[in-house]
Amino acid sequence: MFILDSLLIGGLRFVLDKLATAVDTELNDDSALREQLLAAQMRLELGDVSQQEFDALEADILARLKEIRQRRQGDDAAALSPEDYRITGIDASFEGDEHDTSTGRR
Amino acid sequence: MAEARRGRRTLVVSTDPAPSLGDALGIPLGNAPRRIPVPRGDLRAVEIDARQAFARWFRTRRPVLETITLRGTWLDRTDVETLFDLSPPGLDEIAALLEVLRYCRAGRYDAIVIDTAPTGHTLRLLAMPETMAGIARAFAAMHARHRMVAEALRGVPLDDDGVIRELERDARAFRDLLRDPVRTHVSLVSLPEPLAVEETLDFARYLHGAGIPLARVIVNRLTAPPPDPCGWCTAKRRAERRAVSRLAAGLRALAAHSGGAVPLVAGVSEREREPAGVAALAGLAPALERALPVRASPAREAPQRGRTARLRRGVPCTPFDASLKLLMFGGKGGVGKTTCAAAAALELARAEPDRRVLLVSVDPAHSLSDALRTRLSDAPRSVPGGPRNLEARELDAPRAFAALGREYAHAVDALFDRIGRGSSFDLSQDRRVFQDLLNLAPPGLDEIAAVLRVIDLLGVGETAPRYDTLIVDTAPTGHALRLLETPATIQLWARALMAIVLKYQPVAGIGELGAALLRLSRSLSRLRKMLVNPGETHFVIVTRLAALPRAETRRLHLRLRRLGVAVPFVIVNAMGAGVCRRCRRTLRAQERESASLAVRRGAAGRPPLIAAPATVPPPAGVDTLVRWRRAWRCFER
Repeated sequence: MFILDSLLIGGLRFVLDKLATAVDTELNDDSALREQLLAAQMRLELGDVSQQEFDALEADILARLKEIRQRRQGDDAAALSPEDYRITGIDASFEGDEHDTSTGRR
Repeated sequence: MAEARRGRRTLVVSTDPAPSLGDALGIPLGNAPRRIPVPRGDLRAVEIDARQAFARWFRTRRPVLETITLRGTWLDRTDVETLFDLSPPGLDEIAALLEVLRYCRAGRYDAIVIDTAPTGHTLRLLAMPETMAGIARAFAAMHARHRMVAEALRGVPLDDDGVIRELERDARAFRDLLRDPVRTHVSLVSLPEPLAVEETLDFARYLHGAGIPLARVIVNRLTAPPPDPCGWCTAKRRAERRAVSRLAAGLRALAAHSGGAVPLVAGVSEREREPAGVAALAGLAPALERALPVRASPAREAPQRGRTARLRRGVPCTPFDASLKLLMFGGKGGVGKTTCAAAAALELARAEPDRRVLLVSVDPAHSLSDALRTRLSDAPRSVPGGPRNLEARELDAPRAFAALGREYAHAVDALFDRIGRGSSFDLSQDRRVFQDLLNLAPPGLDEIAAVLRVIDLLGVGETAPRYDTLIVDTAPTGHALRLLETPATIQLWARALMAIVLKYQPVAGIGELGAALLRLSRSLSRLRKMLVNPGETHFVIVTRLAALPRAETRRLHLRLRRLGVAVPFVIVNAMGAGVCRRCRRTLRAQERESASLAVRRGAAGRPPLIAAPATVPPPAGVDTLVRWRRAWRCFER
């Protein structure tokens, strides 16, 4: 419905704009990566991904975040690890004990 | 029974989620009216099953409401179905309203007598028309969005807003019915005790403010004159007279203020055997119509010295575990939950001066101020004369919920800003839909607010704990159970919404809303684990030795066991009596009852008993509560 309405009202242009912005941010902006990380945490909470899959996703995202940071600040950027990384903008923290999957759905 | 005897086809309905109507009639009841064998007339009785009643209503309306939601939001069919499969919180009040209207319209009855839930949640039931009108508004906003889209496309909007009009109509019908003194009579039932009297007066003030006429107040369990001289009975009668005078004076003042009529104050004497069954109940009816003689000026009497009944059995003990995080007190209305919770809080805080203790009432009809004899509010404050590490608070659920709504409104706003950025897409109508939903004080708001507050205060979420121990004075049985079920209910909602946010991530992003939902879901997981951990959470059942509270206690204990919540013991309140013949009979009955309960506990997994002595007047204020607590007796294991 969302897509249909968007096409009808805002026109195809809107969706294309959105996609272009998405691609753009994917490459350059670490906020997109933060969202990916948050999405991964949500999927873990929902039981859509296993802890193992999440760990792999998380490692990948953190590596890419580190890359962006190094590209921006040169090579002296501090090393990132899950223990010290905190998403301030959306205030999602993960400090070891957060990986809580024991109360799965249903 | 009195209505039926007058030849009117009568239905008696219990809307309490922990009904006692079947116990009172001595006939098991279900969710369909059952004929009650009365000597004269036609009487039927029913205990509403909220889940089933709502399901019946929803079944036929669901397709249309789904269509409206589908057209009025960006959600697709799968999303809408997922959300509509979840059960709404606060089902009891919605179901009560719908069922009462259904029985009123059925035309099968000349009189419908409604036995409601205790005060706090009946206040919510009476406010339900506003909630329902709010729900209608939210759907109307969705429908308006659809209309806008359809007209923009030069199409014809689908005209199926009949359900919205029905919701509006039902809300109005219930609202008007409550305010019509010809069709509706409201009676409040109270006890001749200060806490109950204050609660009744608060209720009367609410009714007055809401424009609902109050016809009658029934004071139950008045002590009759003793058969032979008895200091205990005399003192009790004197305390009761004071309480009744205070009640009558409060009602008169309210009537004078409003220029309305003073409600009839009737009284029912306490029977040695609780009246249960058709024959016993028939004898009560005349007293309900008679005005109780009330002494005019209670203020002139000298203050009464307190008396505490001596308990002969059991041993002194310190029953409360100071290492707990959450200690809840629950039971039937009027058994002394608040008093027990306050006494426990004073003792625990004193025993562990390094632990920060909060005594909090989550019953929308608070009595904590009256029990502690100090003015409390939603802002925590220390108790004058109490330990310094103890604070007390009466939760203001609507306020807490409004704050929460603002928090989420911000996240939703941010979401719309992101979606709308750089497009000509008009989102104002979509925003309206969400704002309407967020502004709605939903049914079940007291339970939701309490759960979120507990998470916050105990640091179950990601913030630091503000207290080490929370002592919770819960609403009576039915809603205490709802409270315990609420974390699971809202977690299902949080997770469903998370799945939807994730689905639209490529276009709308996740943002604050997703993060907030994730935090909420994780906190709820931790809270649910805490509730079923006997090292962290205890639920203390408070009861009296009478048939109805006993039956309710048994059911409550069973439900708690099923929920996995630990019940360390049951407090039997108001034990002991005086020396007259009647008091001695009461004492013997108490001995028999407690002995039989104590014997059976081991085998059937029943928790041990603690006897709390009867006092005249009931204990209130820090010093009295501490002394009273020391007089409790545990039955040896």
